Amino acid sequence: MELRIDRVTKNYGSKIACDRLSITFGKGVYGLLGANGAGKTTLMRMMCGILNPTSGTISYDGVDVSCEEYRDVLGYLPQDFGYYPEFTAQDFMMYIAALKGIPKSKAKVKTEELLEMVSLKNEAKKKIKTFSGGMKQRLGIAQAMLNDPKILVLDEPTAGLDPKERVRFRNIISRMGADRIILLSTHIVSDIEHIANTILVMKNGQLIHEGSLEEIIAVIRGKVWECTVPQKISDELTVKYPIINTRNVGDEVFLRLVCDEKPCDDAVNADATLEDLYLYYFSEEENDKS
Amino acid sequence: MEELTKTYDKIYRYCFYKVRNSAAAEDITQETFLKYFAQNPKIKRGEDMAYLYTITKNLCVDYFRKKQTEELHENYPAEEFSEMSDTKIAVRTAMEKLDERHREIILLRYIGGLSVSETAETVGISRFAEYRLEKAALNEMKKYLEGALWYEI
Amino acid sequence: MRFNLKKELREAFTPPEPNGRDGFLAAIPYPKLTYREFVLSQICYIRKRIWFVSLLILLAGVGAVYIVPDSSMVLVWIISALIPLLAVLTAAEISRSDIFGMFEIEAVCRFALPQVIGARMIILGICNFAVIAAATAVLGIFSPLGIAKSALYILTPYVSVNGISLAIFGRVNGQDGVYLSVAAAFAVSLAGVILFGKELYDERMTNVLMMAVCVAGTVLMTVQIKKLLVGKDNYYGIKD
Repeated sequence: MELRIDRVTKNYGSKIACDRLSITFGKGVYGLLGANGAGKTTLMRMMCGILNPTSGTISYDGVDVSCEEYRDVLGYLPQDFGYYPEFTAQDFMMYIAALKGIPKSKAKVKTEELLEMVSLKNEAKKKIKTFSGGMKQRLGIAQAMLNDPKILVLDEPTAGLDPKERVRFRNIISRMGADRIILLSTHIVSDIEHIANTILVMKNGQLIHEGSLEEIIAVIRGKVWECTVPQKISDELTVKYPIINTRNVGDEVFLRLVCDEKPCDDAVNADATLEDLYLYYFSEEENDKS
Repeated sequence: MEELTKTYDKIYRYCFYKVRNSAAAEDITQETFLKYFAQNPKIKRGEDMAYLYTITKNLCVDYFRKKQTEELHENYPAEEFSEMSDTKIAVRTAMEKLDERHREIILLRYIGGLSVSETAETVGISRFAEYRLEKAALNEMKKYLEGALWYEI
Repeated sequence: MRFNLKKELREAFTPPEPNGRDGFLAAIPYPKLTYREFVLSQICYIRKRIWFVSLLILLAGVGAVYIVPDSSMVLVWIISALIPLLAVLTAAEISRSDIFGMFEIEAVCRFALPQVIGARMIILGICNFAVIAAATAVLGIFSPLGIAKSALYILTPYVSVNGISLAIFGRVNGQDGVYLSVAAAFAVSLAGVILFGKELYDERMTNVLMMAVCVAGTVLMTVQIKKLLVGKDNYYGIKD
């Protein structure tokens, strides 16, 4: 079971969305982390055969992404998806099952099983129109699993889920990751921190880190500092170092920042987290957006 | 009922007739499916019945070779006889009286539930030959049953 | 009692119930639908309005013939008014994935988007062909137009509206596309009516013009269909 992405590049005109990416996936859960526009969705769409790479190949055990056999073992949850307005949850599942080539009797059993898994069993006969965002998202997750996929690609699967649903989702994914390849993208670090065996960090179309949580965090271990300083010093530090977090404490300012050496006398070393790493890489972009 | 379930039952019936043991028959049936799907990983079309039965037949032959049992066309287990109707006994006897070739065709066609063309393909003869042999076999059985049961057939 | 040998044969050799069957079948990789079975499965997902309009055209034809005396004109009017409606609905049905944003999910299934759209085209194509053929026959027999002209009068609005609608759905997303193509259908109907009135003055011009529109419509329709069935990146129009 091996999904191989080999020197894949995707250009939109002069803009490079993915830049010579090479990744090999084996069984397990992979978390794809990156800011908006880092190329996560483009990569995932190429992995699902929706977009053609400008160059490079994607294959699963030697089967190219464009083949029917590849799609036969693929499940995909797009970032955003529509539905036909007359559909109930059950109709939706049965329709997708037909597209996946699943015979009707088998599809019925599978639909019931999956709707139960995502706690939509009682809503099976209700129109999707009446669903909340979280319910629709759960339905999207269920449809991706109809064909018992060996490759499961989920683009922002936790978007719209409430905290309780998130926990449930994480449990489902951990359980399913044992015998398939699961790739999920998110910009919410806590969603993948504990369920992904491998974390991939993407920036500007390139893969800048790949490894276990420990390995990834090692990059900034011992470089995360916290201090509470007067406004004036705070301003100086802000210019010099990447700031992860800041808040006002009375007259002074609390800072959490990344720095190779102690930035000021009363700074204390803090435990590095994935969140720190993420903000370290993406804070500028996030700030630009807001 | 699902297509696959039907196919399973057909092959199982056939195997049971051949090996006279439900556990062994089911083993062979399942092995047939596994072999079939292993050789057709893409499974573009529905089941190819003739091919399935060819696999089954070979597996049955293997089974007997392993068991080193001679020709197993004796009757069904004796304890069942007490509960069996005369008709049932007569039909079974009629079946045993057929020669090998005729019996195989009746077996595939009416116990295995194949169509004329599927039967012909499995045995490796033309549809016309199948039709002729089938008719001859049925007539032979009818003749025997008329004598045995005094029925107007 | 009649003796049924075939039935008796089946009963005489009934084995005990297999007990590992369902578990086994649930676990093995099961055979997937063939494309033919898939196309058949899609019939129930075609919206009822298509069947309704098709039926309406047929009924209107029959009704006009039997109920309205000297119905030739009524017939032409009714049928030429309903055909563009059928064409728009058909185009909307084919372009559904686009209109409702389902294409991304549909594109990654075993039967990929071109096959899904192809299935719809096969079903709708057969249905529409039957309706058009029937309407042509009714018009050809019961109106003074004759078969050849009837076919022209029915095909021209059908192919042009269908082609235009498909082109609109391919470019304009969502419900806006629906309004636009309904407007287009209306415009074509109107043009037809004006043209039809003119015919009294210059029949030959009208016919040549209609034939030209018919050919153009057919080309447009073919191009759009090809785009739907072949297109990948360009069709999805996905921007990152």
